[in-house]
Amino acid sequence: MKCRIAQQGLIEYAEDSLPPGERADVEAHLIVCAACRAEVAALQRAENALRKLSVIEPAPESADVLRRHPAPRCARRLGWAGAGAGLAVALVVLTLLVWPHATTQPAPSRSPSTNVAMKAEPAEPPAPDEAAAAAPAKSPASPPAVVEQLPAKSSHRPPAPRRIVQRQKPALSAIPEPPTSEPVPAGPPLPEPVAAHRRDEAPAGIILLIGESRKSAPSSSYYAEISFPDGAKSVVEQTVERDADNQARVIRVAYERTGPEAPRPDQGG
Amino acid sequence: MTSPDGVTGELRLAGGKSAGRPAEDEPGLVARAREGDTTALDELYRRHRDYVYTLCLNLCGDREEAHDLLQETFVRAWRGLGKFAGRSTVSTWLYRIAVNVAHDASRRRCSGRVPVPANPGGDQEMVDHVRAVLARLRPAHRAVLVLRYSMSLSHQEIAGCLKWSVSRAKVTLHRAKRAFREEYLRAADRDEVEA
Repeated sequence: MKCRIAQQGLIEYAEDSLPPGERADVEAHLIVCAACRAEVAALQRAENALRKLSVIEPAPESADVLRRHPAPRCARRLGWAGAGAGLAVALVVLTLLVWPHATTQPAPSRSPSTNVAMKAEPAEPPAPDEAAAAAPAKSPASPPAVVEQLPAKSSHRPPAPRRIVQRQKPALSAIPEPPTSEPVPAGPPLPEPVAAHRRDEAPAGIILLIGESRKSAPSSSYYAEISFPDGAKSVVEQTVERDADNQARVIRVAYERTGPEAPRPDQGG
Repeated sequence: MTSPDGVTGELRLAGGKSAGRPAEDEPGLVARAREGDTTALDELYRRHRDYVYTLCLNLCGDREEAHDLLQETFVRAWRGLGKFAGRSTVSTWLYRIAVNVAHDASRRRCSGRVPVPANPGGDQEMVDHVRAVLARLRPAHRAVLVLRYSMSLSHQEIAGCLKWSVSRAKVTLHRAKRAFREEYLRAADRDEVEA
């Protein structure tokens, strides 16, 4: 056996893991090769040194690590399995901030911030079926909503193109569907729950990702990435803070939209 | 090894090495911990802390920092408990977190090379010497060596822990051994020169 061949098995020889046949060949070579003997000796020294690491050292007592970080409860409530409530909040936030113009209802019952957001949208003619419903809510100063670009979700909306769902996570199947509701009629404000109302008005975007972007007690940040048939994408992040009773409260919401002709809420008509 | 609370080699067993503690305990504990059962959390922590601490200590080479890394590892683990799918053992999952935590810490630290203590005499000094040599290696080499020699993981377990292929784990371990040997001999040569 030549040195070049023997050296390929020297590490295994030094750690005593060579098969018996190959071990005999290496041993035969070592008898006649001083260089390889020195190599094996060095390898065995290093091997013996590494084996000293097998001693397990007791950790210092720090039982309070569990009490100072009651995170599992957060994980349980806000993790994938229990993301229903968080997702509902996220969808409400998405609808309020990204597509408020898709709402075609008169909005006397909405919060002032919602109304401000609704007015700050670029102009584009609405779809015929929604234009009729939207007519009472329009004012001369507020442009029509971008219904074609971001179609409002309704019971007869077409399914989103398949290509958009490439990155959709299977975990989303666990998201509870909102209660089905009839198409929102025009006229006086509806006494529906806010979440169901907004969800019903959401456009046909596909949620690609929902995740946790930061978690440092007592606040945590979560994000959702949404894709639309026109190629636009939006990312919404909300920061939730927990009080002493472990009740969650949204303290910050941010969103970013990218894609073709991305409308900005602050670019009113 | 026997930990102060009398638990003997449990984490090694949790890594699938052998019997001694009923394997079905672990999923049950995780399930209870997910529900917020603090006794299950305590039990998981008690079982794994010494091994995770040793892993952190061997990765960073400093006891105080290892303690911090231990805490950070468990905090991350508790926070991610809801995402733990149970495809790997709890110990492998914890090791993976610990390696990541130690890697993040070493990147933050950005300090110079750790001086290797000269002329190791007793066992403890020898271990410290090895840790100092390890600290001079690349993070990936350090991680595979510690997982192999300190945690006694197989190639397959190392691959699972680091989310590598088995062949990558084997090749990296092979290279890491050579890198360690060279660094170890270099340190020994320095000792001889200084002596």
